[in-house]
Amino acid sequence: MNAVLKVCLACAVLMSGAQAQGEPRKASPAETAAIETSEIWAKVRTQLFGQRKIDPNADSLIEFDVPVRAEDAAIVPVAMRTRIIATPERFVSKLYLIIDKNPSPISAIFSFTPESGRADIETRVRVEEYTPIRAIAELNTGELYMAARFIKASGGCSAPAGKDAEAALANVGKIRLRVDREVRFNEPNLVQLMVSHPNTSGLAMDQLTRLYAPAYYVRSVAVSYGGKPVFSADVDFSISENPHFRFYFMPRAAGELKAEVIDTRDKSFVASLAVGERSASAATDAR
Amino acid sequence: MPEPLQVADGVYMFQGAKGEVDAENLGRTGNAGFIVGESGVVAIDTGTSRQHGEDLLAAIARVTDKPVRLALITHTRQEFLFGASAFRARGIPVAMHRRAANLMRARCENCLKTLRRQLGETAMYGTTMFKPDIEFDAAHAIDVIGRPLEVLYFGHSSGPGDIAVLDTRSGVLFAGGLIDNQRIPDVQDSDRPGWHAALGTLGRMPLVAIVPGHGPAGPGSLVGAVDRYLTDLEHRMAELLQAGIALSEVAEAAALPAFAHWDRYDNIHPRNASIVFLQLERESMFKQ
Repeated sequence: MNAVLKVCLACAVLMSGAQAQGEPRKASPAETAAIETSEIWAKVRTQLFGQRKIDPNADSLIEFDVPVRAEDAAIVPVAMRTRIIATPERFVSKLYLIIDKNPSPISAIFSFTPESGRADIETRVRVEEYTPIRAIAELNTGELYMAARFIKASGGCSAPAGKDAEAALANVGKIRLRVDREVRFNEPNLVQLMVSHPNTSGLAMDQLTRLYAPAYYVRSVAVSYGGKPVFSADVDFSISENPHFRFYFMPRAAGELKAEVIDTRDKSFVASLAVGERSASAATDAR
Repeated sequence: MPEPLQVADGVYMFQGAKGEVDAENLGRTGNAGFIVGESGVVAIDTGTSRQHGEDLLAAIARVTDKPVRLALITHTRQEFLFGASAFRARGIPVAMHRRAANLMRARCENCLKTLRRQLGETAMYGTTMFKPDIEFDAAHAIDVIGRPLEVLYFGHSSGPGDIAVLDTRSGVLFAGGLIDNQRIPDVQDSDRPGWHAALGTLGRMPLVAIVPGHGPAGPGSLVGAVDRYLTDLEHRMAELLQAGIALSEVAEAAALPAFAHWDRYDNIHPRNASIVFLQLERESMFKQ
């Protein structure tokens, strides 16, 4: 509430309606060129993957859901869903999210295990400029697949923080862990993890006060179930204020779902949630 | 040239264009108006660009030769603000609420840059950021044209410094950001409880006609239509949040068919949905 100064993008962000879901929109020739010839990507690619081969058109393996135009460049929902049937021998171990023109292009590296059940992640990011955005799936076998899009949004990283940031700071580290619906054993179950955190980039100036909020953001998230890792994320300020993650875990019996979040001041925040039988799974909020 | 429509004796409005900003409508999507008193004119809102402001002043001069004494800006949206330079160039003081002015200072350099990019230098020629000549904090009466006017302020409602202007003689209300007609209201800067409360107050006033911020003038019942939209939006978003739906699915799931015929349903409504969804999510997060 009181999002007075929250998004100074009111006019800067170009808005359009909800774009059609489902099939990815075809990139225009200029956008395709931007995706293919990005110098930033060339550097990031070398840094992360060296000379390894990447299949650049992996839309059949990665469903990469990005709005063509963002409603709000400070909070752009981004979903990566993999369509690779996981087996202990061959599964998606990592998903990389690269936003070429953000100040820190390597926006997130998500890690999965066979305990994840499904290597899907949805989060929310800031987008600084019109930019290519990429999802790269790395399999435990070393195979690499990429899906790329072009997104029209601007100003996310330098959007002034508002009273919401003050509220986030007052509640910093509060974690909400939610398991939806009834838990089904031996199937992937959706988890929502939200961390109250300003997640400031240090790059946003309040035009009114001409002050910059200092950089202060979540660095890592690690989630385990019954002591075994199911999901982790190495992230930075490309992730929006109040970082939010939706992912899966595959419980085989009752146990404890536990999340640990560490920020740039080396503060550690922990939350856990008891996951039980079908009938006992109603209490799903841990704070 | 904009043509003024007479709403009541001495009360006129200019109706803005529908749709998004484009080269054809020159971004002139907001309403403006003026009230003619015994000794002068009060203008309400100033248009999108200096040229738009000039055009409004020329149109006013075709209706009356009385001098424009004051321009009131109802809220901080580009289509109401940036004609102010035309008024100020003629020595007409421009007044707005302090919180609206603060929001303008915090944001509108960017809006202006974007407008220049969209409309070009020619259309935006001479349009600059400005400092209001008068900044006020509270509701007050205005008596500068020999016709009593009331500036109404309800606290943070549709925006932090949004005002409405009541012509007490005719019972016509210029509602600014508080009320749009047949057009999706924008919740971005709003405090929704404050907005509901303001609409409640307006709904109890004996208004003869309302000149909304966008869309045609209408009867007092316009108040209820905006309130219904906000309430329906809030209910729908609360349902989606409860259901655990993802933000990426909100725009799609937010359909409110009852309002689908309103202008800007295709773009402002999905954005409103995201904004309210995120606000409710935060509230649920911070609630103990």
